[in-house]
Amino acid sequence: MIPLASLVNWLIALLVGAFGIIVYAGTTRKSTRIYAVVSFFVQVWAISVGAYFYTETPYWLVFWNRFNHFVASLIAVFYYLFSTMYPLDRKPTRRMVIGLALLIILEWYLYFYSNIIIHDEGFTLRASLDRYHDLFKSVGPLFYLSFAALFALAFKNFAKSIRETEPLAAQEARTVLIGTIMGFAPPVLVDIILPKLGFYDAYWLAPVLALGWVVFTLYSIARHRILNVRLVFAEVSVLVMSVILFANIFLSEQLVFGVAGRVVIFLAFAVVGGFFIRNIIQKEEQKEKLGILTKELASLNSSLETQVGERTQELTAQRVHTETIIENLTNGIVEYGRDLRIVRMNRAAERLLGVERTAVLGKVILPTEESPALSSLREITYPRGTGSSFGSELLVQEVTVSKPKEYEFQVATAPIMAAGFTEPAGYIKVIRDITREKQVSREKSEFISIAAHQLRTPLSAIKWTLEVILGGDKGVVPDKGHVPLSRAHQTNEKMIDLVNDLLNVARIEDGRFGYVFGVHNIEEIVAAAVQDSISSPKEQMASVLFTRPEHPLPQISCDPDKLSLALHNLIDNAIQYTPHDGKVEVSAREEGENIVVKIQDSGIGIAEKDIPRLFSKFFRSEQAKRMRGDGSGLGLYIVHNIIARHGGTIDVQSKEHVGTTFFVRLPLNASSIPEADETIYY
Amino acid sequence: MRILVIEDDKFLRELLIGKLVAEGHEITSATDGKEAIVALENPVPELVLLDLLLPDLSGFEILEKMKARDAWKPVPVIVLSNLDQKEDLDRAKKLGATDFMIKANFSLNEILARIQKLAPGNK
Repeated sequence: MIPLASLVNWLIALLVGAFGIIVYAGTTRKSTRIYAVVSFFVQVWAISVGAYFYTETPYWLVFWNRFNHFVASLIAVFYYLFSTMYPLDRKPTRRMVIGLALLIILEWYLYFYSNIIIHDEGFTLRASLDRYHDLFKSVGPLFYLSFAALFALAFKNFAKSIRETEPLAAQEARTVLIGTIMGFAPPVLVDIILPKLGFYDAYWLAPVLALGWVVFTLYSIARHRILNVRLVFAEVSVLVMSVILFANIFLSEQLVFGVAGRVVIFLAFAVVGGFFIRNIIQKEEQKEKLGILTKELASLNSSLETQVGERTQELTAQRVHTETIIENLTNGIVEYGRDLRIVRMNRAAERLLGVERTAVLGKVILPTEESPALSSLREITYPRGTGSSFGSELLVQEVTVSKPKEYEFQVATAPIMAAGFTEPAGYIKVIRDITREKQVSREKSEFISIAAHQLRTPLSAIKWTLEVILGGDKGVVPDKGHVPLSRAHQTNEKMIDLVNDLLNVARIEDGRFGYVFGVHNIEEIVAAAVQDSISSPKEQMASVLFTRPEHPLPQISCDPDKLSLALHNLIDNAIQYTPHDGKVEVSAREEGENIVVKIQDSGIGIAEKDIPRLFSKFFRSEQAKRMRGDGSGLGLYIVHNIIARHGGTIDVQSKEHVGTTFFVRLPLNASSIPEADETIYY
Repeated sequence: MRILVIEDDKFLRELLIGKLVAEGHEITSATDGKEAIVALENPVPELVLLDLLLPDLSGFEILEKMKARDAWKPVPVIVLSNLDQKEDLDRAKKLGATDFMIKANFSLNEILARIQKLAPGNK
C-alpha cells in the first residue's frame, strides 16, 4: 500500500513536470529555459520526497533524505543562475559557471561521502571518517548556508533588475520574484523552521505548498504573455496524439490492414502535425519580425523626432541671431510682402521715419497716403519723381523727407528673389541716413567754389591791369619796362592756370567736373585747341603744324570744352618742352573703332622709367623740372581723367632728346562711354 | 552802346569801365543789387555785364528780376564772374544769360570782342 504522502508528492511531481515541459517548449529565451530546469529539479525533489515517505528501510531513508537535500541545493544553484540571466538573457560569466559547478561537486561530496548525518532534528557530526560504513551521512551547516546565500543573492539580482530595466521587463521580473517567494517560503516553513521548533507532521506538505509557485508562475505567464500558449498547446497535443497513434500500431490485431492502416494514419498525422507546428512557428516568427520592425520603426521615429527637435532648436537660434542683427543695424530696414504689405521694420527705421512699427505692420502704404505721420514712409516707399522703386533689380535712390525731421536718405530697394521664382517674394528697403554726408559734400563744393573765386579775383585784377599797361592804354611803356611787365603777366597767367588745374582736380575727384556730352566735330575741336595754344603769347616758340585728315572725320559724342582742355594741355606741353627750333605736329585720323589724335614733338623726351608714372597727380619728370621749374604736375593727370571719362585711352612713346608722341584714342561708338556719374552705393 | 556794369570790386570795375569807355561805350555802373535795379530803370541799357557775387542781391536774383520785366527782358546779359561751377553756369543759362565769362580766364580784349559781337549792328 502506497502511503498518502508519497502519492500526493508524486502527483505534484507530475504536475510540476508538465509545467516544466510547457515552460521549456513555449520559449526561446535562455533564461526562461533555465527556469524550466529549476522546475525540473523541483519535480525531482517532489519525487524524492515521495520516495522518502514510501521507503521503510533505514538505508533508503538516509539515502532519500540526503538526496532531497542535494536536489534542494541544485534548485538553489539554478535559481541563482536564472536570476543572473533574467530578464535580459544575459550570458552567465565563465567564472560564475565554474564557481557554481564547484559548489555542486562540493555539495555532492559532502552530502554523500561525509560524516555529517542529517536527520529530522537537524544534523549530527560523527567522529568516524569511515566513508564506506557511513556512506550516506552528510551535510552540515553548508546546506543551510548555501541555500540561504544563493536565494538571497538571487533576490538581490531581481531587485536590481526591477530597478534598472525598462518598465515592461521590470514588471515581469517583479512577478517572477513574488512567485518565487510565494513558492519557497511555505516549504522552508514546514521543512526547516517548523521541525526546528519540534513540529514534524507537516514535513510531507512541502512539495504541495511549492505548487503555489507553479500556479502563480503559470498565471503570470498567461497574464503577461511571456510564453506562446498556442505553440505549446499545438506541440503538446501533436506529441500526445503521435504517441497514442504510434502505440496503437502495436495494439492492432489485424496484421495487414490494421497495422498498415495505422502506420499510414500515424505517418499522415505526424506529417500534418509537423506542418501544423511549422506553420504556427512561421507565423510566430513573422509576428516576432513584425514586432522587431515595429520596435525599429518606433526607435527610428523617436530619433527622427529628436532630430527634428534639434533642427528646430537650431533654426530658432539662427532666427534669433539674424533678428538681433537686423534689429540693431544702424541702417533702417523695411520689408514688404509681395503685395507691398509691410512685414518687418527695425528700430532704426522707426527712428528715421518717425513711425512705430506696431502702427504700420501689415499695412499697405499707398502713394496717396495723406496722414502726416506716415509721410516719410510714403516717401521712401514711392520716391518722388522716380516712378516705382519695386522692380526685379536692386535700385538705389536718394529721398528727402521732412518728418520727424529733415533727412536725406539713400534708399536701396532689393527684391527678395526666392530660388526658382521669377517674381519677387517681397522687397527689402535699406534706409541710410546720408544727411550729414550730403551736407559735408555741399560744403566742400561750396568751399572749393568760393576759394576759386577769392583766388581768381586778385589774379584777374593783375591780369587786366598789366594788359591795360602793356596795351599802351596808360601811355607808352618804355622798352626797359616792357620785358619785366610781360614776365609778370606770364607769371600771373601761370598762377591762373595753376588755380584752374587745382580746381579741376578737386572737381574731378569729387565727381563734380560737370561733363556735358553732345555730338561734335572732333576735327574742329582739335583745330581750335591747336589755334588756342599758338595764340597764347610765348617767348621763342617751336613751330606747330596741324595736318587735317584727308577725309572728313565722323562726329563723336564728347564734351567739347573738356576735350579741348585735354588737347590744349597736351599741345601746350609739347610746345613748352620742345626747343624753339623744334616742331610740334598734330594730326587726327579714323582708325578702326576709334578716332586717333596724335601729338608729336621733337622735344626733350621722357625717360623710360618715368613713363608709368606720367599720369599721376603732381608727377614731373627730371627733364621737365630741369627745363621748366614752374609746372604743377596736374596737367597730364587731368588729361588722363578726361580721356578716360570719354571711354578713350592715352598712350605715349618717347625717346630722350629725340621727342615724344602722345596717342589719344576716342571711341566712335557712344556706347563705349562710361555711364554718367553713377550713384555711389555706400 | 549803353552798357551797365554791375561789379562790386572797385578795382576791377574801374579797369573794365576804363577799357569800355576808351572803346567809345556809354557806361553806367552799379556796385550792388539795389544800385543795379535803380540803374536799370532809366535809361534801360543795351547790354549788362553782371557779376554774380554782390553784397546784397546775387547776380542770379538780378537776372530773375530782369527776365520778369518786359522792358528788361530783351537786354542781353554777359555774366562776368570768377565762379565757374557747372551748377552756376547752368543756372545762369536757365535764367536767360547770353554769355558766361570767367574773369581770370579772359583778357579785357577778349571780353571786348564778345561785347562787340552783341552790338546792334552785329546781331
